[in-house]
Amino acid sequence: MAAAAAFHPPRRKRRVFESYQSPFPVEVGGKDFRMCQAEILSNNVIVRNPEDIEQLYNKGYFGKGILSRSRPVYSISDPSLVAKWQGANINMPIITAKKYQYHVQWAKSVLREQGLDGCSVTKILENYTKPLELPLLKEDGAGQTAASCNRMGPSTENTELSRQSSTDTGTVVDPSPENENKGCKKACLEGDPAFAPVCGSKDQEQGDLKEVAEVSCQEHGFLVHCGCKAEESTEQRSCETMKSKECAPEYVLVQEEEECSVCPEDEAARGQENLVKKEKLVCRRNPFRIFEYLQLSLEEAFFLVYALGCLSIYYGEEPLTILKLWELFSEVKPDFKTTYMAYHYFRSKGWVPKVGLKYGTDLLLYRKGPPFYHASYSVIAELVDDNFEGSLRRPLSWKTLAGLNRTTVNASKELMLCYLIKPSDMTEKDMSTPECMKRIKVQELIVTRWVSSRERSEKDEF
Amino acid sequence: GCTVPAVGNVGDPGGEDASPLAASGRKAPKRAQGQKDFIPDGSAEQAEKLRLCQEEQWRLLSEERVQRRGNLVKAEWKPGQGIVELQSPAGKFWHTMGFTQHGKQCLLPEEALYLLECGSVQLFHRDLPLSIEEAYEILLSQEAMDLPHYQVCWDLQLVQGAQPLTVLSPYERQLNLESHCKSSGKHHRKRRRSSSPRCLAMEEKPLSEQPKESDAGSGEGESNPVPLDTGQKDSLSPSKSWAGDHKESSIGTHAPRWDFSTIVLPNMAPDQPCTHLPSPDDGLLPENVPGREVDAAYWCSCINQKQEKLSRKEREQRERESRYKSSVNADREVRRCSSWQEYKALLEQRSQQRMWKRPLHLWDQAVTPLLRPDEATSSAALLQQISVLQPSHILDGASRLQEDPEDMKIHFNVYQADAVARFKKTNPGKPYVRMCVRSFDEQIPSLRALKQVTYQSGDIPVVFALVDHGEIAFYSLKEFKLPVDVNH
Repeated sequence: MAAAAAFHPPRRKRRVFESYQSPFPVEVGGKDFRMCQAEILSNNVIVRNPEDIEQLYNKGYFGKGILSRSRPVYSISDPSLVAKWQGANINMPIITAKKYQYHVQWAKSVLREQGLDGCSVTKILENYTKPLELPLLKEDGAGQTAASCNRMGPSTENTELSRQSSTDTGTVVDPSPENENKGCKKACLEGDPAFAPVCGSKDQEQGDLKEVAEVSCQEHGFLVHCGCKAEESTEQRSCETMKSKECAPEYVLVQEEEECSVCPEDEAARGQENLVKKEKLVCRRNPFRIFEYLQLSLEEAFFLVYALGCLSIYYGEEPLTILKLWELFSEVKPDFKTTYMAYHYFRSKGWVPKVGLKYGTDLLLYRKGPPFYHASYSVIAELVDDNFEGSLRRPLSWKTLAGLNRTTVNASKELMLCYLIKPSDMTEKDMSTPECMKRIKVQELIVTRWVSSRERSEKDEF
Repeated sequence: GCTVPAVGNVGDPGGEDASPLAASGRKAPKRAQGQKDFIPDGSAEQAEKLRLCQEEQWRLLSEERVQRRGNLVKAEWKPGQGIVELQSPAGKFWHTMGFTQHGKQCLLPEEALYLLECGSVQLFHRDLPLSIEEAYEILLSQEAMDLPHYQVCWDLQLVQGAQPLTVLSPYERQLNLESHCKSSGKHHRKRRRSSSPRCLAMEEKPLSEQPKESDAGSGEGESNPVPLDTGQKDSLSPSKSWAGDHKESSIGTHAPRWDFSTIVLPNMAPDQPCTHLPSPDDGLLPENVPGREVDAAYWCSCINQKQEKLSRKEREQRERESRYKSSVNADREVRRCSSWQEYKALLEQRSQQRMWKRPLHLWDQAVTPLLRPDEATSSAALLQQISVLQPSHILDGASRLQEDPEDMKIHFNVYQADAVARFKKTNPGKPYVRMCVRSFDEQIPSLRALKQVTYQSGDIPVVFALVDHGEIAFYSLKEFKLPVDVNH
């Protein structure tokens, strides 16, 4: 028997911050499972629904947050400010005034794109971004930080506020009578599908959302923007896919400077020279929310649909069939079939493959998932016929292989070549369906640099 | 004249007296520290450093090695035959090198060249002694071995500490292989896994008979590779999950060997008068456990058969439960079940009927998802359902590739240094590895070529030696099967 490469147990990460839930986002035990939804956007597959995102990432580590390194953990909050205002924070994100201004500007430009005139835009935004009483401010919560006046900004009308502060029950923000319905609707429905309505109460069924959307579309103050420029998709669907959690306005604490006079005790009629610049936190609504979505690679997306049947992918309105996806993804990525087969193979062995771009290969293989172990293998996939030859995606010279092996080993991984062997009588037509995989064989090879007994520092097998 | 190849690693003479450095009694120069000087900066300092370095090298290379006349073996180059004939008796090297032809001791060109450089042999051609340069030029111009090959040999000996090499012609190799078969299982000390030698020359054994390299329970926790001949979805069933999670994931596909319809468990309930228990069937008992018949009447009387007296708390709890819980037997359909099997079937049927929104765009199509929710009965079962790709082994289909001549061939065998004592030219023992010399600019072998050369090599691993102007690196492409990981 030809000598085989030894299997080296994966290296555990020293610090693990999460617990393992499940290898796949499907329930084991023969029960029905939840279907997740994704859509195709500019040749990428994204998942918007926060619960779907959690499900897909936590159970199998599928996808990548578009604003994060891996797990979607985007938050508008600035961690340094949170640390600074430790006492005052009541679980709201804290941002700088500058950042808030950016969001206001972005909201402004979105509204302008809608065709609203400058005056209306300003009015809308002024109203939406006005300072608010913290709805859940406890009595002893104020004035903790010594260094500043912790008072909230100028107070606003109580009636409005109290209604607004009960938004935790999700009541609709009262409409402004000034704007025409039509104008508002235009603002909401056209262009970007960005406008998620402020939902009705959380108790409302999904079916009612559409109605709510129309009603609250009359609101102009809840500008919400997705994390990416979306293609034309109707308001309707994005209403349906938004859950109430996403629809409620985002409250943020903005760190602002205020000139306030010296405290009364020291009053000695010193006048204007003693104005001190103090920092305070002002609660405002975020007019331009950024949602982080989960992006699935084509291989991950296809696997979820074809192997597990737990994902539906929409292109526009239409959910795509498996055959259509196979065809579409192959058009988008010419080598899709090859990389998919490798992906599928490793998933069916219980390993977690992630993209290998950083290491110049196709896949990185993790045991259980990236949070638990360092990647063990860096894989290059090639498709050959059953004469074991084929036009290679990455023809490698020994020189290139040596370099690739070096960088791989330096990252404590092993370089693997994965050959997918298809029968010579398999035609293009045969390969137009993923069922062709049943006839395909997989050969794994590990590249190792041979070091003689002299050079070895530790005992090693050949 | 021709360029003299770099002598292995100047800084690392090893311990062998084959090294010219050691022979001259010189110490190796100290290793430099810090960043390498790799860009010419045109400075006088750098130029001076280079000059000194070169001077030292020249000095070392031009140093005359002193050998006692008496020790030098005389040998003559025979260009017609492409071999070197010894004119005086061979020395120690005869243990591992050389061969006999027509009653005379002879050396292969590369062996002679090596010995010449070691200072063990004096080479003559047309009655004149050859210098090392001349020897290189003349001896290595033959087809048998060219410079890169020779460099690999040199490197292996000096640097890698491998045993002096023997280049085998295919015929000789075959002879050696046959002799392996005759000797019964010589296990190499260094190898942890010992596989019995397999004779390639003899016959082609069907692949399913190949011995599995089972290493279950070895210290490193290596796993069983997936058995070769499965090729079906149930390739998962015999494989074990590894490294600490030593659980066997068996997907019970065996038929039970008990016929439950004939095994009767006696009913000892109080409403049954049965107290006489016959002796159980010996086939049902573990070894060394005798069974006997029993009259349980006495034991039944010892058991407290009075009504349970519950405390008030317990009674209240029972009352509460009875409000919300219902007895399973209250269900008429359940009562209709006469055995546990039927009851399970009823549960199954009920779970199927539950509304599962099967998306039509996935299920009402020519190609449907591989997994159905009701099939995901366990993690292992799920993996099995989605395992549609077949495994392949490096030797699969390799035998039928032999008709095609490939320029990929094994150039020589390498024996381990500590095998010297056992080494005999007529019976060299099993090589440690087989070497295939390639150039860095070449493409890596195709899977096809790799299969061919692996097949040729039998159970000896193949190593590729890459030569680049005197620098040599060794690589291998090894068969591997990623183990299945069934997480829990």
